[in-house]
Amino acid sequence: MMKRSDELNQTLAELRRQHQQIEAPPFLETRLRTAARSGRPATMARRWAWAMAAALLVGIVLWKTHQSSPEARRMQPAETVTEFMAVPGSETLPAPLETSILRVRVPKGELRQYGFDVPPPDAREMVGADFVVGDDGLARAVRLVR
Amino acid sequence: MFEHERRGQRSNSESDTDLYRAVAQGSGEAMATIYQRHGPLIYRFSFRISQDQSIAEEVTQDVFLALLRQSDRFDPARAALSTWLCGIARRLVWKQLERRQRHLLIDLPEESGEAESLEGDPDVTLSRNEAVAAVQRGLDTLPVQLKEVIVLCEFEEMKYEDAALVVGVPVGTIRSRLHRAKARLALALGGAAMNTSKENNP
Repeated sequence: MMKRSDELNQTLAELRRQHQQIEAPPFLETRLRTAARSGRPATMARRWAWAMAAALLVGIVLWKTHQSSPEARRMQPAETVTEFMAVPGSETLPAPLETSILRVRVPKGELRQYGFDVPPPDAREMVGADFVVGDDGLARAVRLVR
Repeated sequence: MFEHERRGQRSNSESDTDLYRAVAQGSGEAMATIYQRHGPLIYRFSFRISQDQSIAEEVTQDVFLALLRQSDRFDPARAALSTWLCGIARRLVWKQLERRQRHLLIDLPEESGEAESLEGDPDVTLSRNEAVAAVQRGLDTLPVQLKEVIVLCEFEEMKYEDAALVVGVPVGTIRSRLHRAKARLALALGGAAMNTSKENNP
């Protein structure tokens, strides 16, 4: 009778053959080709980050202005927040020395890029969001504020 | 396929280190060649560990984008490029699994004693398909720490030293985890054999 360990090794060899047949979908190559063609994404990410930081700053000023009115404070309901989610790609960024939380209101559709599931009918609806931004200006995490 | 393949690919004999240096200087062709060489490993590993196609796709993409972003962080003196990339993939997969909290991410005490016997006891030989199905089921229920050494060392035939670099543990830990993982898979095989025996001799 075949020893159990021999049987296991033969079975693992069969599973190895099956494993080697797993293939990545072709669109991954296409995406990476696009990224490689368009240059180093870090550069793009930093440009995007500066644009985002500027947008966030404007958003904060507008939001603070709105928040400071007595009527706005009176009408403000208790807020609930989701857990922070890492911004896609932020895992590979260097750890920031300092972080700040920036609260903005953005169209829900903008949150798709951060992994939130937003149905098309809701895309234009405004929603509050807190961004954790490093001292390098790059966003690390985001949460929703309701 | 990448465009360079149609127009004349970078030489297959070009070392990963040379390609990596070219990527650091912004060569898309070098990046493409590196993906051709190591993308399948990264995808297979991510898919096997996560058991989720969407995670595997996302992780594979992020690993190679990380190569573009931080190509200066790879040290060819410490590890092969495939090992370095696989280490990034592992970290990203683990983050995803922790976020989704749907896999067995348990703290494994690094045991010092003997692992379970590999033999099992049933006197029944399973058919090839039955054995594959039984081991696959066993694999699916292994803690990720054990599953990843099976994938790296058995399915990808990675050297223990390289697997240790990917997982970030000593080589001895890889050996002991591999032994424990195989012991559990052998038990899964033995259990399936017992069930078959009972079915045949009720």
